[in-house]
Amino acid sequence: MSSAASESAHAETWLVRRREEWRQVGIVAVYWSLLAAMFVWPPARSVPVFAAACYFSFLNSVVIHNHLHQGVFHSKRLNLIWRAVLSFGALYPASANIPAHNLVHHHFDDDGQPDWATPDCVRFRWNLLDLLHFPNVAGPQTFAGVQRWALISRHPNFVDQYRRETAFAFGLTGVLFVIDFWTALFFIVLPQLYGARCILRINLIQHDRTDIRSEWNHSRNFVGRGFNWIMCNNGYHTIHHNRAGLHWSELAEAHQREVVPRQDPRLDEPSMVAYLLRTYVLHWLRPARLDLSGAEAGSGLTSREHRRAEANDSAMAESTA
Amino acid sequence: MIGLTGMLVLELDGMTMAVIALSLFWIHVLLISGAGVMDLVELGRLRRRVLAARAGEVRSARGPGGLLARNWVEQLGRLDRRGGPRQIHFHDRAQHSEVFGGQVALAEGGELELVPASAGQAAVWPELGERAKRAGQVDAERFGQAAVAAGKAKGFERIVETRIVVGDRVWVIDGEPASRMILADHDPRAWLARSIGLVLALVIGNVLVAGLCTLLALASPHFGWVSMIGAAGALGWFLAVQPLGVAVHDAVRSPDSAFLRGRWQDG
Repeated sequence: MSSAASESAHAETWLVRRREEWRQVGIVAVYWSLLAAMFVWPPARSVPVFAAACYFSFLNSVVIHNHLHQGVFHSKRLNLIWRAVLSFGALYPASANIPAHNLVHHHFDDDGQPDWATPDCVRFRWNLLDLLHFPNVAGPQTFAGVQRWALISRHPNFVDQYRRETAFAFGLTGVLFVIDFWTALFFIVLPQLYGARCILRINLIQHDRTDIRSEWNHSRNFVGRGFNWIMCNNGYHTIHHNRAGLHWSELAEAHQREVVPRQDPRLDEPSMVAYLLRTYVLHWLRPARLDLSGAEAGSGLTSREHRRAEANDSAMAESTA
Repeated sequence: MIGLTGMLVLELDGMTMAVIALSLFWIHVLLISGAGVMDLVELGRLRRRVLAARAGEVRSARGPGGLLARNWVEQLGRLDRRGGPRQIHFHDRAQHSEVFGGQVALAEGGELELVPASAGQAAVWPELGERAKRAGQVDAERFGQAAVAAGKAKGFERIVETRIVVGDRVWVIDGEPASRMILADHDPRAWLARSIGLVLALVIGNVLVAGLCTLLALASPHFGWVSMIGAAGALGWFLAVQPLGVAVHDAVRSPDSAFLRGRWQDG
């Protein structure tokens, strides 16, 4: 189904483009409620609420990711406002995802230079340190890349929208600092930073030791059903890379149909928690690169350049109110 | 189900949160300094070789036009879209080195025969400041055409080449079984000293600034004004030292693979 036809088929849903989007709206509502509760109601400043806020901050960044691929709402203006709301939750401008994720990371290439969040940017021998340190490198590389891209971007509203999101995210956080410095620092900023940094770490988790030159063996997938419900199917990463225009609610089926017959089965992990424990806690050293040569069975995809051009057109259309 | 009482048992008071926040702060301060130490270790390995560099003058060369060796950067220029004076921003796509072979008369006496070597076997180190200056010089005649190309999807492609030819001064760092031969068009000890200095400043400065912020944050009375300034400083440093760490790491890339980038501006 073309994206236009797909959109018209879902046009009857009120406010949002698809009814599944309410899950994303709900995630953000829960996250803001947790932050608000901790800020205004001292009994909420507890381990379970704080831990939940950190987790939902990560989910807020997952929503940023999905929203920057396909806007949640029918109204483009509302989608731009929603980006600012999401930016506060992660303390970075959500529109940074357009160059950093949609245009560079999806194709593992920045005009001949490596992806800004390439797993190779960390090199500690103790692998857990790589996981911890990754955002310290990938974050600055990403924002420096975004600044360079903004200078030459053809996207007419990018810079203004980016500034609005930055102003809202940092402005609201600043206001909270003025109202109550310590509560803002401990119960707003720490969860914000946790989510923003964890979404960067996902790049390492999903791509380290895979083969980014391959069309079907470039990503690690986490296929647990419960995990993918709350993560809005972000565990199905290979198909998302290759079919970026596909809505997140359709990824599980597409993964079974297109990825499973083509990829090396070692790249499907049943549980992210088990993978993290095995890779970063139970083993000291970074694992060897997987030998994935010969595992791929046919591409069936258009070129990466073509897909990048499509992603660029799509992002430009979504950004124009 | 955890009721209000249960939640209070797991209460996170200010002191607990301060310990958590400072612990996270220090983990990342030490990670960034640790990554700097890894850069220092690599520079230290290089130091032994660089100190043994042999200076000389190129006597003969087998490359075209008396070319002993060259380093070149493939760049793509794209037009600035913000309005104002026309500018082209350059982006490095790849860096390469090649040695054509030839003879170098050594300052210490004697001659050195260099065999041809391509990427992977040899690295050619340009003097970075001079290269940046040369690459940034706008060719007024060429700018118009370049700007038109830079405004198109394909962009404006160019190559910035550094050549070592007959008559040039050269510093030779011999290859070892596990490392490449290096040819520099400048004394590489200056680059090395600057690189080591930069990384040392990051490694030590990072810990010192973090320590100062921590001392202020822990000042009595806890959570008073001084303490608040320390915490704000720690947050600011946490956000600032990350790009600083990346900038230093990029600044000490070996000259054959150092970023060039740069821009041209009309007029």
